[in-house]
Amino acid sequence: MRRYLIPIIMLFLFTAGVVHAQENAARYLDTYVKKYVGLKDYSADVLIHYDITALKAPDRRAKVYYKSPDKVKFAAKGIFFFPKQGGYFNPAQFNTDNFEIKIIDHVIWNDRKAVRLQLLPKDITKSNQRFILTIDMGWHLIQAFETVTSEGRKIKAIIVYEKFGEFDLPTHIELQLEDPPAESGETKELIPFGQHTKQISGKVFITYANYKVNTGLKDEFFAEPNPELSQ
Amino acid sequence: MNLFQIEVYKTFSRWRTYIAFGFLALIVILTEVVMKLSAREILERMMRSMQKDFLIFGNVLNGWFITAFIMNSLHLHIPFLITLVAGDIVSSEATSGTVRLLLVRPPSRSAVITAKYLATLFYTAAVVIFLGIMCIMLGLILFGSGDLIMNYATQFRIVFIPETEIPLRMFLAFTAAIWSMAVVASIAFLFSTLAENSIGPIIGTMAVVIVFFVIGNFPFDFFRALTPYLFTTHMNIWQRFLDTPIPWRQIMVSAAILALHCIVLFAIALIVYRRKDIKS
Repeated sequence: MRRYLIPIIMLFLFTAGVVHAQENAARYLDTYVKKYVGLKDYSADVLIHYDITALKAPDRRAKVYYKSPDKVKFAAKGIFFFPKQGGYFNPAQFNTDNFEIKIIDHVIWNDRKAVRLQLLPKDITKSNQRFILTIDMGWHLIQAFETVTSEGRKIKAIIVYEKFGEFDLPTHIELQLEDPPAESGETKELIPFGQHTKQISGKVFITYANYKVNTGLKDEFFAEPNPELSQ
Repeated sequence: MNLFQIEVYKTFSRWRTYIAFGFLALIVILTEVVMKLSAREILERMMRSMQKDFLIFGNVLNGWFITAFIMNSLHLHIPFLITLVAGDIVSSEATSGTVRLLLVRPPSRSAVITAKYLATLFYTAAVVIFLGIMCIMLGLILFGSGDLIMNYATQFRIVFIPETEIPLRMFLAFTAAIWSMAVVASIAFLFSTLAENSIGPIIGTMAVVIVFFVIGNFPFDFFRALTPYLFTTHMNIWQRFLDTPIPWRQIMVSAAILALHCIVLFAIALIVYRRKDIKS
C-alpha cells in the first residue's frame, strides 16, 4: 500500500497544480472580458496607414461600427483594405468558454506587470490557429496580441488605449504581418522563370478617434450593405 | 489640302483602315460584357492573395480597372492592327502602280515620305485613342467609377491609385501607349518602303515584334543582358504611369529609347525611299 502512496500523492499534487494553473489563466482573460461586458456597441473614425511592400496604397479613412458580440461594419470612401485579424477592437472575441488557455510566462510590458497567455480554440475547425495575448495585470487590458493563422501566417499587434467614458478603447493599433518562416533547406515555393515569391509582409498602423459608445446600434444596420463614407 | 492631309484622306478612304477600329470595338464590348457577367469570379481571382489578410470594401471592378485590364491584355495585339496600315501605306503605291504618278508631281520624295510617315503616326494615335475612349466610356457606364487597383501579378504587387488622380494618369498612359506603338508603326513603315506589296511588311513587322518579345522574356542570363536594349522592353512604358510613385526616370529613359528607334527607322526609310528605283 505504502509503495502506491507516494505516486498517488504526486499525481494529486500535479493534477491540482495543473487545474490551478488553468483556473488562473482563465481568470486573467475572464477579468478582461468582464471589464467590457457593458460595451454593447461603438463607432469610431479610422485612419489606416499601410507600410507593406506588396501593397502601395495611400492612407485611407473609414468609419467602423461594432456591436457585441461579433457584428462589425465599415463605411469608407472609395476602396478600403482592412486587416482581417486584430484590426478592430472586439473584447467578446476572447470569451474564455471558446479557448483552452495556458499561462506562458509573466513579463514586464511598458514597466508594468503583464501575463502572456496562449489560447487554443476549442472549435476544431480553427484548431490550427493559436493566439498569444499579453495582458496588463493591473489594468486588465490586452497590450499585445499574436496569432498564427491556419496558413502559418504570423500577425502581431501592439495596442495603445485611451479612456472613453468608462471604457479603455484602442486609439492606435500597430499590426505586423509576417510570412511563415521557411524550414531550413526548404524553399517557400518553386519560383519559375524569375517570378517573385508571393508574400504580403509589412506593417499596418490603425488610428482610432471620435468614439461613440453604446448608442444603440440596431442589428438591421449591420445587415445592410456597407455605406459609402461622405467626406 | 497639303500632303499630310491628302495622305490621311487616302488612308481613311480604305476599308482596311477600319479593321482595327472594328476589331477593337468588338473586343472591348465582348470583354466588358463578359467581365460584367462574371465580375465576382474575376474579383476573387484577382484579390485572392489580399483577401487572406484583408477585408476589401468598395468598387474594385470599376471602369478604370477594366480599362487598365484591357490595355494590359491587348498591348501585344495592337501592334498587329497598326501594321495593317503602316505596312501598306508606301508599298500599296507600288502594288497599285500609282507610285510613278505620285513622284512625278512637284513635291519632293522627302516631302511625300514624311507626309506618309506622319499619316501613319496619325493612324496609330487614332487607334490607341479609339481604344482608350471605348474602354473608358463603356467601362464607366457598365461598372462605374472608383479608385484604381493595379494588380502586378508577376511581381505580386498591388498599387492603389485614388480616383482623383486617375483621369490624368490614364491620359499620360494612353499618350505613352501611342509613343510605344509609334515604334511598331515605324518598323512597318520602313518595311513598307522596302517592299512592293503589303503582306511582307505586315508579316515582317509582326515577326520582329514577336521575336523581340520572346527574347525579352527568356529566363536565361544571355537574353536578360540583351533585354534593356530591346524596344519591346520599353513598350510597356504606359504601365509606369499607373504605378506608385510614378518612376519618371525610367519613363524618360524608355521614352528616349523609343524616340530614338522612331528617328532612326524613319531616317532609314527616308534614305531608302529617296534612292528607290521606280522606273523598273
